Amino acid sequence: MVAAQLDRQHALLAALDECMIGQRYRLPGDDADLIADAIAALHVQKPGQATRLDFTTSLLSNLRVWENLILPAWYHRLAELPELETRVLAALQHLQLSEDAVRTLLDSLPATLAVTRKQELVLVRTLVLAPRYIFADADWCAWVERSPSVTALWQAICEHSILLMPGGEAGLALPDAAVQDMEREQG
Amino acid sequence: MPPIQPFHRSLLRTFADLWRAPVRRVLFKQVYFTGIEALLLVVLIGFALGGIVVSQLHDQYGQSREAALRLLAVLTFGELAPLFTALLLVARSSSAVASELAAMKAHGELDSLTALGIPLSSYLIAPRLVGMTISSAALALYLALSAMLGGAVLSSGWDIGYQVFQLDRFLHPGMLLTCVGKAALFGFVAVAVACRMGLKAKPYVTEIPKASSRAVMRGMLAVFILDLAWSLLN
Repeated sequence: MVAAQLDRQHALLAALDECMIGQRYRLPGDDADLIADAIAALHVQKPGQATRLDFTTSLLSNLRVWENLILPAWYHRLAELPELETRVLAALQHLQLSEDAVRTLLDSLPATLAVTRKQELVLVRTLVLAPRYIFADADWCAWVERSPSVTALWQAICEHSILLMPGGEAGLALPDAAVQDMEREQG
Repeated sequence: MPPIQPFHRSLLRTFADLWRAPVRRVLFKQVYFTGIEALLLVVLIGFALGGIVVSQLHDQYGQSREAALRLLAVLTFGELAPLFTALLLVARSSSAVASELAAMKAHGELDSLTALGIPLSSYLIAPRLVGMTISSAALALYLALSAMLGGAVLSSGWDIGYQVFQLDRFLHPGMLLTCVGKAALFGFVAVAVACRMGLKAKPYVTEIPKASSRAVMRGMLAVFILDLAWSLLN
């Protein structure tokens, strides 16, 4: 059982190596454990180069918004603080807020914000991190694509990352024979 | 040289992560909330405690200032300061740590951190363990010193200058080390219990107060058991 899970994980990681930035891929099945293990393995190989987006993804309530936005990139030492500040301000431009509104937003705590604003900020955090791989829930993607306020933000994220949709039907098949076999088995 | 075991390697990595800037920030915040914000309270309690103990000693054993202060020093540095500090931290900070972690779990924040590749042990647990251990040791020392001051004021009134300058006759490095070491151990155990209760909580909002309450009760129990063990071993 464990060996089979490891084989699937290795097959998935090998397939991910061959994926191309800016493309969307569908993942066979919706095995949460497999995805969690794959994300953990990717963080060991390339720290900060993977993340997951779904309706449960949240900001940390005990950090101010600006700390939330830079946290993953800062933790993984992907950029210095001045560079992160530039990235945050550039990413927030996609939300079309005034300078004062941006300043107020950055100083606020997530608990004071509307749910939609928090989801937008999760996307801003993803753009600031700029991970190579994003595992995105298909329903989340559908919500994002229906929300005009985040269209530009989402396009900017997708341009720099490989989007992987577990259980989704849209997107390319993963470029690896072993994973395609898994997909056929699932089917 | 024997190879480092995976558990030890992971433990080393966890504490090495304290050098990462965001983790250091969590550590400093913990020291601020636990150590610095509680400082005035601890000093006032210590001052009152010193006064109370000296007045009791006067009632029981007569009016010798020097004997009362000597006994106060032994009691405070050896026993009362570490124990009172640990109880204050359990009441004030353990409940906060447990409820914060349980709330983060209930709101999916722990899963979000994991998905971002930020280990919970490095970012949440290690800075709290280190921060509360340092704070506990420092606060116990302040409590003990303010208790000595309270005792000196009660026994000598306004003429305390002489007694304060005589404190080095009662205090020796072993007492200070015992006080700091014991308080650090109690603080470490109290926060370890609090972290465990917070992370063990089920991911529901109704679990947050339960985690907080468990952290306080089990933290106190752990501190008293440790104190008893320390007394028996000595």
